[in-house]
Amino acid sequence: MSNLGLRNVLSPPVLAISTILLLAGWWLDGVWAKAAMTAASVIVVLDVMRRLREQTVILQRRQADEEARRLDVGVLKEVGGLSGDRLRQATMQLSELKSTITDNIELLGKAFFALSAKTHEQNDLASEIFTKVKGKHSDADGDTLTIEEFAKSLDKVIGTYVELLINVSEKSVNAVHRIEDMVGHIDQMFGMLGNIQEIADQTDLLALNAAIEAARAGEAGRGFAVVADEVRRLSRSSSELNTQIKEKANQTKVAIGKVRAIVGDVASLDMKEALNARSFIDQMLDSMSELNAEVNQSVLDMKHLTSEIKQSVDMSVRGLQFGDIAVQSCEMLEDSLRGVVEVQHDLNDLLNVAGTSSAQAAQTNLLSRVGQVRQAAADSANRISASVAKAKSADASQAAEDDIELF
Amino acid sequence: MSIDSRLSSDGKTLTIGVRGRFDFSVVNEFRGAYEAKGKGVHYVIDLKQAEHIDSSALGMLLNMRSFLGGDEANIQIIHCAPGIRKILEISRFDKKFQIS
Repeated sequence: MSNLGLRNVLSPPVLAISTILLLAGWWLDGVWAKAAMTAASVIVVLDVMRRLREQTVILQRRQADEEARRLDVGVLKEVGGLSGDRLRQATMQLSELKSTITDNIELLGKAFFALSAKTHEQNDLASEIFTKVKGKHSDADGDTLTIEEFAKSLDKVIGTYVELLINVSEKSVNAVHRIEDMVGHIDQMFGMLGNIQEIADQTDLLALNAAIEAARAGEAGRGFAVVADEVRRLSRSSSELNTQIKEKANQTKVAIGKVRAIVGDVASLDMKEALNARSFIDQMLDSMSELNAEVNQSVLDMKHLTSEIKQSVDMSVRGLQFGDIAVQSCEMLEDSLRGVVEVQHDLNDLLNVAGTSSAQAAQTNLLSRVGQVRQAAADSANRISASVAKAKSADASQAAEDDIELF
Repeated sequence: MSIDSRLSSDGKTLTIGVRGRFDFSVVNEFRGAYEAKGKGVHYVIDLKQAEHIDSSALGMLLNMRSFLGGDEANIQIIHCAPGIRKILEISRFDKKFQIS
């Protein structure tokens, strides 16, 4: 409010005119002086009245402004109160979010580490299968017989069997050859027996001739006839004996023939069984090696898959470490919100003292708070980006390595 | 005759051809074919027309080999059908005879 001085009440031209009129009234006499004095008084009064009116209008306007400002402060307080509530709510939600993230990351981390351990176990199992299928004994005693070894033993057994069979055939054929030799000898014997028969026949004929000659000699040849008769009887006996020998030799030949047939049977074994057994073993070994190859391939695939799973798990674990960054971000966000809440608090203080003498101090306080919060926000942003960059570079360098480094 | 033997023109190679079944039924004929000529000749057993062999054929071949001096014997078996060749192989004849 300005103090009411003379210069403030009267405008300079009014002051000048009224001064001139007063000087004229003082200097003049009589009616003119009165008129001049009166005129000056009237002008001054009129001007003072106009001024008063103006001041009144200004005062009224100021009052209205004051009211309006008071109204604005009310709205601002209202808004401030609301945003304060929302900010507190947001802070609470944020801390809930942070704890949820932390808990779940911990859970996921445990699960992934367990998964990683399991893939190790799986890999070991795969290696064991690989070794077993390959037929290498992992145990030192070597009791276990692999299928391949079994097949090889079987093959050896069949080899021995075939060898035995061939040996028997060789011996049997040799025996048959000897039998054939024997049959040849017997056939020669038959020829000799034929000669003996011939001799007997001739002897018989000779004896007959001798008997005829003895009969022609009459009484003198009687003795000779007896001899001739005896010779004939002997030749017939020898012929009979010859026939018997022939018969026996024939029987022998038949018997030898039977022996030959039996030995022949022994010699003649079908090789098909051995051949089939052998090719069965071969097939078995072939399918074994095929199976081995397949199992080997499968085990290799499995190992490959396991290492891929491990890589994925490691990647996931590294991904979880980005979760740590999320938590850090949450914390920084919390800091920021806290800063904003403080600013809001200070603003509220300012609004409370608005229009009083302590408003200036409150305003300075608020501005310095804003400065602090702004600085804190910039620091947070820097920290976050540094953290992310570090994580990314760590991720890139970890891609080639297996171990997980926590950052 | 399911066995026929031909002497080469230079008299150094005796080829014994087997027709049909090479089994016990030809044991004498087969024996006759090589025993007549004896050692000192290169023998060729031609199985081009042989349909089947059994263990007695193997026995005959081994007896022939023994007769011709065992390891000194010079016997070649030719024109083996796959089945016959398999039998010869599982009998390890490839170590005692030249098989082709």
